[in-house]
Amino acid sequence: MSTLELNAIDKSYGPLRVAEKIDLSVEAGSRTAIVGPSGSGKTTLLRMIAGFEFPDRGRISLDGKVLFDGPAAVPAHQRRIGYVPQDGALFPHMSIAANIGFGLSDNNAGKPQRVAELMELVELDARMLKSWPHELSGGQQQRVALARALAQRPTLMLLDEPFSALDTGLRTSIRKVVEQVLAETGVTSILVTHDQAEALSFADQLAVMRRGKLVQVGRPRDLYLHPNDEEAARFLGDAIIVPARLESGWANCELGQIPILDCTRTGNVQIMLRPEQLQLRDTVTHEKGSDGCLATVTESDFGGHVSLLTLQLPSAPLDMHHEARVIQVRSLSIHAPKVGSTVFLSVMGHAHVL
Amino acid sequence: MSSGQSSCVAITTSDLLKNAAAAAPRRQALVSLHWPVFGAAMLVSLLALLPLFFVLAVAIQIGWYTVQELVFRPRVGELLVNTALLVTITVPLCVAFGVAMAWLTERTDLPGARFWSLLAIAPLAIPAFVHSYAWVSLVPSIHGLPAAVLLSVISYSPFLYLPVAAALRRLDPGIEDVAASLGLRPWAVFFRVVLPQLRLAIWGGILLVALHLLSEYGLYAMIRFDTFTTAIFDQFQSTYNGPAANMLAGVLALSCLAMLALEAAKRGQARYARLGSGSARLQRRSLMNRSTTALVLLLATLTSALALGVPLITLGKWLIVGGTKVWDWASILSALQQTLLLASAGAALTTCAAIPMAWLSIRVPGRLQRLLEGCNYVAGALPGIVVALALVTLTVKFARPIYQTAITVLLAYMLLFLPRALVSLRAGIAQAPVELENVARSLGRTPTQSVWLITMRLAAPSAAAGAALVFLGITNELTATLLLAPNGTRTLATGFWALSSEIDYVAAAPYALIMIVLALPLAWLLDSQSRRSAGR
Repeated sequence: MSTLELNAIDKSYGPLRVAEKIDLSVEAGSRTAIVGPSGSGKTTLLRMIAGFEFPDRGRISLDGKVLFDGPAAVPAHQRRIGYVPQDGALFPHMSIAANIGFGLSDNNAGKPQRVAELMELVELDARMLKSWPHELSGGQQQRVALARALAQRPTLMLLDEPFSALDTGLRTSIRKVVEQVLAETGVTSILVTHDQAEALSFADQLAVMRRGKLVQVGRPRDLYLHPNDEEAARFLGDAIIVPARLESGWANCELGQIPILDCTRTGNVQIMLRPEQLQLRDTVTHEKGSDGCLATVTESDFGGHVSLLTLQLPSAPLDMHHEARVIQVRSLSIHAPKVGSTVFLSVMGHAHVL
Repeated sequence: MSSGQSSCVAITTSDLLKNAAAAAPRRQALVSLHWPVFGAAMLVSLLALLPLFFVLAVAIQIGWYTVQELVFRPRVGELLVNTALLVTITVPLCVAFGVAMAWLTERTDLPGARFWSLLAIAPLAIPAFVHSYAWVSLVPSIHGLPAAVLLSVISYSPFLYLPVAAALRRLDPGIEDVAASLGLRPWAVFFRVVLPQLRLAIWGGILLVALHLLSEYGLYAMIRFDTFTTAIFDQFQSTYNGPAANMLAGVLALSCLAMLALEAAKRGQARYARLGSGSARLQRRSLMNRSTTALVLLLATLTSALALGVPLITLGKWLIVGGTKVWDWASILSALQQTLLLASAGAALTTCAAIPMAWLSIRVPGRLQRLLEGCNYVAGALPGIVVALALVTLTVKFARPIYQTAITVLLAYMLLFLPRALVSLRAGIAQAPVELENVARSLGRTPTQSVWLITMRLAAPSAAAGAALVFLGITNELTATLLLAPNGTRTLATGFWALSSEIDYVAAAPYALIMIVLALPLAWLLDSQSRRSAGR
């Protein structure tokens, strides 16, 4: 199976650095998502792995075979790396069967059978084989693009925002199909996306890219709970970031005393909580003496089964110069407190020190 | 102060060096990937420069003093004014007519759109000198600038219609829908969204028309309108020693370079492929109300009558006068066979020769590529007689075995008609998304296979359009064929010319008729082929 290694990849377009000292290792059979805002250089990184573009410096190897190292570069067609672009890029002048069979050699006797297998794999009706790309829906086009890339049994599959052109419901179902197909075939894959939810759900390994740099790489859960900085924290989901003073394993802040994992750290810092760590109770039922704080509901935004509440904290002793802090929390709509009411806020789990 | 300045300079220089160092490996990889294509394009471009080298060599040989004497004189100024007037009046008319016809036939519910589309291409089938001849025999007093403009618009506006119609067919209708949703009225959508996307096609067409205006001989000679080319021809005929004519050709080449520079500047850096590479939806035709339709039909009928009716009536008249005895079948059939052979070989050669350059200029644009591409237009802009004489001189001096063989004639055709093939191909390649080539490469096809299977296949309608234009050009080509063809060669055009030079208009008529008949089904083929590959 395949392991992809990127070492110190640099790439500039004139003065613009789109990749800066990128190191990344992708394990055989795993799924990696590269996530970042648009313009962060993630698509360029993918294209360099595919061999459509070449780095200015650095080294790329797959399964120990060097794909790029200075002047030595394996061209795209010899890499056997599957590629599914944003909108499928089906060849408009070929039928679905011809599209899927494009990567297979013509004198391969098993070609029709392989094409039929692939159609089944991506859950498309075999009757579509004679259709033309423009007769298919967006989701179907994406499945064909996936089947086409899988035909040559690639060692690595690159997916460049393949779901972004699809509507929400379809996006999830196609993503599931893709995940399933990748799992069945056991092919190593890299997904590029700007959608953090998609990345978190898809990946075994998540890499956050920003302004040409990989700022953090790790397991999705670790990155979600322990981001390196505020920007990464906010990019991966809603985050509540408040100033705190650390003392012997505890963070003291406006929300009360919250445990932290690293007992050795002290001093004034910023801590991060995910909103789902906050618990809301009304002031009557909360146990006296339990840790937490009081807050006033200033706004409630109804959104179906959950509502987005805006809470105002009493001004904190640590932060006298600032106005009272405002945080946003989601709450099940049937339990949502009314605007103007006072609630008791407590925190579950650990705070993450930024 | 000065130290600050110098350190600032130092930083910039080191930055530049750094950038250059960074770019070096990338460029290496690029060049190694593209060098066969570069090599092919370079070879074709160098061949295309031969006639220009010839003119320059003659200029150097006769010396600066004589050059001055030959170039800076009132006669040259007069010719410049004539040529400039012809170009500035004819070109906008051709654009307006070509674009309007393309829009009407491709994007409206004009009744018989297919038929009108054929009629718009049909004037190409009639050699310019036959147009001119037909009008002169209908209205003997016709002459000068107005006549030249009228006949030029009739003869050359298909050069705009063809690429613009092909580009319109491939436009993504989604973009127009978006523009409409942004509050643009239909007219505003056309001028702000559709027209800008046709820029490559329009400027390509303009270049072709302008180059023809600069190098056509027969049309203007017959209506007594002096341009550089007619003056060069007269010089050759009267003195036969080259310098005066070659110097005029030098000025003509400069005018052509100016046109090229203008086109290059106007082409710009914009992207013309559809952003995103999925298959576009089918286009919708806009509906015209009954009175607009009637008006448009009337105008279309009128222009077709001018462009096609006049030549056909004149020819018909001569044919009726001649009856059956003018049909000398033995010589007519032999001329037909030779014409078909030369034209198809020439069209194939020219289209193949244009592929590397067209691909490079779209996929790997750069200063060198632009320069190389420019070389190809220079030869096409020189009058056929200059190219022919250059080849005569060069083959006699350096390549005697191919002198007066089919090879030399085909080479001349290639040099003369490369711009036609190139402009069409380039526009077609610009509309084939590069992402498809990438996908093909990721599926294990070599770069060459990817270009051939995907890009060239998608550009095929444009390539076919280009090849057909070359075919038509060769069918109607006169001067180079006369000078270069092996002894005993008699094509339809040279046959027509020989007979009409002997004032035997009646005997010449069958040749003209066959030239026209030959080109008409080709126009139809051209039309239907580009439609089929657009998915209809």
